[in-house]
Amino acid sequence: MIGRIWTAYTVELRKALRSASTYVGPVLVMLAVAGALVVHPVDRDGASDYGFVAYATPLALNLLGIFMTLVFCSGLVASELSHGTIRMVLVRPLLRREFLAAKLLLGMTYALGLVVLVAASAWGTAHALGDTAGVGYGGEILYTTSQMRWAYGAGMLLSMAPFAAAVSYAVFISTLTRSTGPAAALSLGLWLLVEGIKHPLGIEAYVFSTYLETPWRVFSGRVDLIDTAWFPEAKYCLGVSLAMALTFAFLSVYVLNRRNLNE
Amino acid sequence: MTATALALALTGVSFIAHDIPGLSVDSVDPFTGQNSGRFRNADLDGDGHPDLLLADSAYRSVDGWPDAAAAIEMPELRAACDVWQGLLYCRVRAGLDVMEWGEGHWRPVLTHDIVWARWRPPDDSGGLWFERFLHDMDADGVPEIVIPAATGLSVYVRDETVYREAAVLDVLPPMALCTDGPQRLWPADARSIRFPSRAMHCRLWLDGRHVTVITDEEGRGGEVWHVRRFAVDPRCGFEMTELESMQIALPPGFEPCALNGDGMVDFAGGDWSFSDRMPVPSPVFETQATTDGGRSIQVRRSRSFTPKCSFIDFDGDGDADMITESMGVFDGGVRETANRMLTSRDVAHAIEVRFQDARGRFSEKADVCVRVTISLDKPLWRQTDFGNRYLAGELVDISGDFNGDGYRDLAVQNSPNRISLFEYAGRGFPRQPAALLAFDDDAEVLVADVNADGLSDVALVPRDGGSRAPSGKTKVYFAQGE
Repeated sequence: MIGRIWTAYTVELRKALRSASTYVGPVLVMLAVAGALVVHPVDRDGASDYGFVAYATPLALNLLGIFMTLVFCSGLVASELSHGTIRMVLVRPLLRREFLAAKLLLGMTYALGLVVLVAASAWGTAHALGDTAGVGYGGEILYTTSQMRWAYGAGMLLSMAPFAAAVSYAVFISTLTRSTGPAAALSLGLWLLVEGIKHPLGIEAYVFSTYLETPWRVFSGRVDLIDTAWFPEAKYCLGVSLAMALTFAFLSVYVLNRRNLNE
Repeated sequence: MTATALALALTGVSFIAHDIPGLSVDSVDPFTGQNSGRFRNADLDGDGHPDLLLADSAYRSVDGWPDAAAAIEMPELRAACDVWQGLLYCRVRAGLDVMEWGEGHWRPVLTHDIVWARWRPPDDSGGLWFERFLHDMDADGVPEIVIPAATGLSVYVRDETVYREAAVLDVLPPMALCTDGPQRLWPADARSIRFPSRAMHCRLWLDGRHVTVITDEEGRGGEVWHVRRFAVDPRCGFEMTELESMQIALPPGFEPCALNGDGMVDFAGGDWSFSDRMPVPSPVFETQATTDGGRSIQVRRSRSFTPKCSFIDFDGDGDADMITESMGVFDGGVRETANRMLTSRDVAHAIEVRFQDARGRFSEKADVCVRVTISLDKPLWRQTDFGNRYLAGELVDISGDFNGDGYRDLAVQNSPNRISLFEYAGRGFPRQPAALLAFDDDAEVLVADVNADGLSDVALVPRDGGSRAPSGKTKVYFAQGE
């Protein structure tokens, strides 16, 4: 089964790489990082420029990145359904759940690509134009470069959890619709609706998007010289995000299995 | 509000509610956690229970609680007053009246004329006002009267039946000319030549036989504090010996205080600014302290505006501990922050305590951390009175000890008409409150030991249109302990 999923994944990946729309998201997040320079300039003035990294990363990922991930993943299954190509794909010895697993992996690859791209461009900019030699106060280094790198690296890893939930959610919406446009509109609209009502309903703790910023708390806190702990927020982030990712993945399999693909 | 106010004790500590008309309670001092209050406690009737003295009336204690039904009028004097062992000392313009309460009225114990070095009533007082002028410097059980004046610190001692000026301690800084505002030249009859005003500004600490005088002046990039400490010998005509004199240069925002019992003057302060790490600026509060005469400054930062109290002896070991608070509303990036501000009425709030060790160092990591949820009446962007009070740090108070165990407990006004009290339980605060106090109308919550029984009480001052209502409606929930 793993072999079949891997084969399907590589096929889907090649297909995505050939599509121009795949590159819209990466270009936009890089532009967002570059745009952050306008608000948060970086200079070689001896002062640490981790502030730019802490500013640009959540800006690019948690606003634009999540938006683009939802749009990209909403079209993963819906486009196959609308063109009828899913019937051709499933002619091969490939189960529907394996097909979905390949799509989920592709969505995760896209999200990982965005995270890596943002990290590389933010750190690259800070390195090239500014200083990244620890965070100090009153002449004393409170957080070394290595500590800041570790905090950022751990944040990158943790950020994949809410992105996994977002990918899974968008793929689930994608299985419900027949064309890419309505799928993207539905996934974004529903997400924004839940964003608007989660606090009044008191359900924010169970929504993955509440934790999109959690991975960067420690890094941002250190930049502000605020001693910020990983836990328990990281635990909630991981738990809720993975639970939602699994739930939407199973729901997607359920919906696709019951779907008549010949209509 | 009085009729329907409900004190509900769930576990542990319980409260008895009493109306105390006229009681005015101040907020705690941010560096000591003490509530000076505009009241005094003294056992007027000798029943062993401290009575409550206000500027216009006194409430005698009945069964341990100040009873409005047993209220007595204060003497009709325009005088500064202080209390000492059940006696009321009143400094009137031309003399001293010492009175005691007995047989249903105030009886003079000592009355004589005296010329005070300084006697100046506050602008808003038409009768009595409280001052702290009684200090037992020679530890003989009879208080001396100490008054700061232009010439120095005037000390009046009691000789048999009268108080007389025994010494003027030359410890205060000299008076300096003030810059008066522009004088009117027109109309012609309004023209006058005024004597220029003179003023002197310093902090004065009296601790037994020790006098500490602290002055400050603007320095480069901050303030320069001058600390002079004297020992006074009352047996030798109040002869003074200068123990130490030092200058400490500190950044702006520091205030002198006593954070531990090492005898040195400590400095603590705090200031907030906005962090530019997010597209939406988030507040960062910097709590600062130096316990070694300015050689090293300890700084702890948190996402918050100004909290109610930054230093308090949390664990009762005699050393002040550092309190920091974090507002959860700014936690979670620009999208989540905007979402919370626009749609959420519940805000998460964290209070952290960092203990001070024997070397005067505050812990790097929080020793005690408690998280509470405060339910605002409307989302923060609506800028209601209650929401603004939350942002001003008025809803959380960790200065009270309601059960008398020596550890501070937490009082949170987590909705406009409810207070939750959390008792410290060894290693932290339980999630469930020890007591809930519910009331009908919006009120400001202040913590103070009103009846001087060693247990903190909760005073509710009704609010009217976004400001404090007249103190005539103050209600106090007296803690009964475990």
